[in-house]
Amino acid sequence: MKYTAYEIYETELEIQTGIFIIKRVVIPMVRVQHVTTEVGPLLRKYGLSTINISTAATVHKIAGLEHEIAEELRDKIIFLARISDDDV
Amino acid sequence: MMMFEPKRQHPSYILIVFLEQIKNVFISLLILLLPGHKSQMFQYIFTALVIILPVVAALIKWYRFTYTVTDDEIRIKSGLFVIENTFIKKERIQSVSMTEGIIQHFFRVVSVKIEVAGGKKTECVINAILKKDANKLQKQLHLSKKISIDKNIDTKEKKSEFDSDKITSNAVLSVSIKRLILAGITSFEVGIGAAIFASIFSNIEDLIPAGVFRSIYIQLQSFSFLMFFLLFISCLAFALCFTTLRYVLKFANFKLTFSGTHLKISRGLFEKNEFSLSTKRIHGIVIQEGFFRQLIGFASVYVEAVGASDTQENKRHVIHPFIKKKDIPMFLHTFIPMIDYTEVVHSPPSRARKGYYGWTVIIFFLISLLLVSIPFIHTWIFSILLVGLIIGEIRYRYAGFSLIGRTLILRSGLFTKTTAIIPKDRIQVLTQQQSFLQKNSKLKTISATILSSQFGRTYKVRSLDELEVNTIMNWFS
Repeated sequence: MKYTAYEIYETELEIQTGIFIIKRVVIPMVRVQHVTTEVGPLLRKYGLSTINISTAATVHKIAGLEHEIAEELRDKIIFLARISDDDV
Repeated sequence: MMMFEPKRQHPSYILIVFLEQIKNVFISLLILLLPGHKSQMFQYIFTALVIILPVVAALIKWYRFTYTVTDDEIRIKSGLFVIENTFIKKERIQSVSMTEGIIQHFFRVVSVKIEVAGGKKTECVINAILKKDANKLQKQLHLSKKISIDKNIDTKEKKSEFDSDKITSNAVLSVSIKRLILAGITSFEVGIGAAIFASIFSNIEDLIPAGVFRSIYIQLQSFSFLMFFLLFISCLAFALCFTTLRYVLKFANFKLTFSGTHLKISRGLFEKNEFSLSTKRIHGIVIQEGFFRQLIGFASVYVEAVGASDTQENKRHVIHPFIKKKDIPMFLHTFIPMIDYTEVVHSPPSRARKGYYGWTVIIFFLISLLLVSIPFIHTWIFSILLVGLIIGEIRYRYAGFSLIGRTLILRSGLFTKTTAIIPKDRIQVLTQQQSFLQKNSKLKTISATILSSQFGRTYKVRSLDELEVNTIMNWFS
């Protein structure tokens, strides 16, 4: 079993983190406000980046994704989030 | 249909600023002017400046401030050097509130605040506007919202709201003064009262001559324990009276009106406060039963909404300060019919007790281990473990959830029992959590985050049955 994992569906995004305490978050696409990717010097050396998904209330992080995958994921989330529009 | 002409605030705004400024600087001016020995000229100039400058500023502000209400937005133009134009779409407005201070009351004006989501400060404040104009403005702002709903009627999300639109009957609720007094007593704001008194006393210390202080101190030393106890009790009683009075003043004339699409809350004796909120903007309902209120079977009901709100009430809006527990279903059904409500039916399984007892008992055990090493304290100190057990048991008893239609209901708490009623389409994020200990006994923790006044607020129930949590997750996705 992988400890950090994510799964992307049409209407929601699911993220699982933690080793001792396993945490699973479900974020509806409607709630996604914006997505940022972030690369530090160490991560850059290994070609990895972190992706932050913000809702109106919270920020969720998926760390250590490869550059291309992260960017692909970001575009996909934004695309899906745009389809389902709502206020707040 | 409507004329889109810019309007100014009521001219009494300048007078209000003038009076308020006098009120604010009165005491410091008195201190400055009373001794009246040296350089009289300077003092008068200073006085004039302190009072005139803000009034001139207010005059300019009043002159430059205009607002326009169009079909679908409100425009505000203000500023002398930097001209600020604010456009707010009506369907983005979260809530409209009106406040009326004592001075404002004489001019029959109110200040109107229009809240939108996200902004830290209130984006739009109209400081002085005639009360009847304010009511008209409020109606205008709400009217267009209805039109925009009608336009979007074919989208299925909005359908449920349309159904509630059809309910035209107005439901009104007010709370009797007797109940308010009881609510004030049980609100347990004694802590706040004590803090206020402490601040008053720390100021008095400077004013009282040292001699008096010393004699009081000597007097105190001669007191017996009983006297101290009585002193303590009377202080507490005094604080209780004070906070009760404050509570009653705040919630006097409490009135809640439901008009099919909007909830309107008005309250206050000296400072009147009116708040109106579209039912679409309700992010959650919270029922709180404080320790004392639980004893007599009462609770208070709040709504969570975006925008500036009542800081004293945990940034929620009070929609019923004091309600009998068994009246709650009826109350919610009449005033917020679009959100389903039911009693909490699912509790954590009894094997979850371990988890609830765990931490508190361990902490109390460590404390007692520390204390037992102190001389004069014997092994009876281990009896405080019992306190840990009781706390764990209370938390276990209070935890629970319910799932009905499109609503999730979570309940938890220690001294204050908190029940959160969260509509599905208002949940920002739903999280489940499982530690390795919970995994062994097939338990999971669930938490739901919704939007509150500025940030999110998370409601959490620990150690529910794994299968039940999975049901909730499936219900959500």
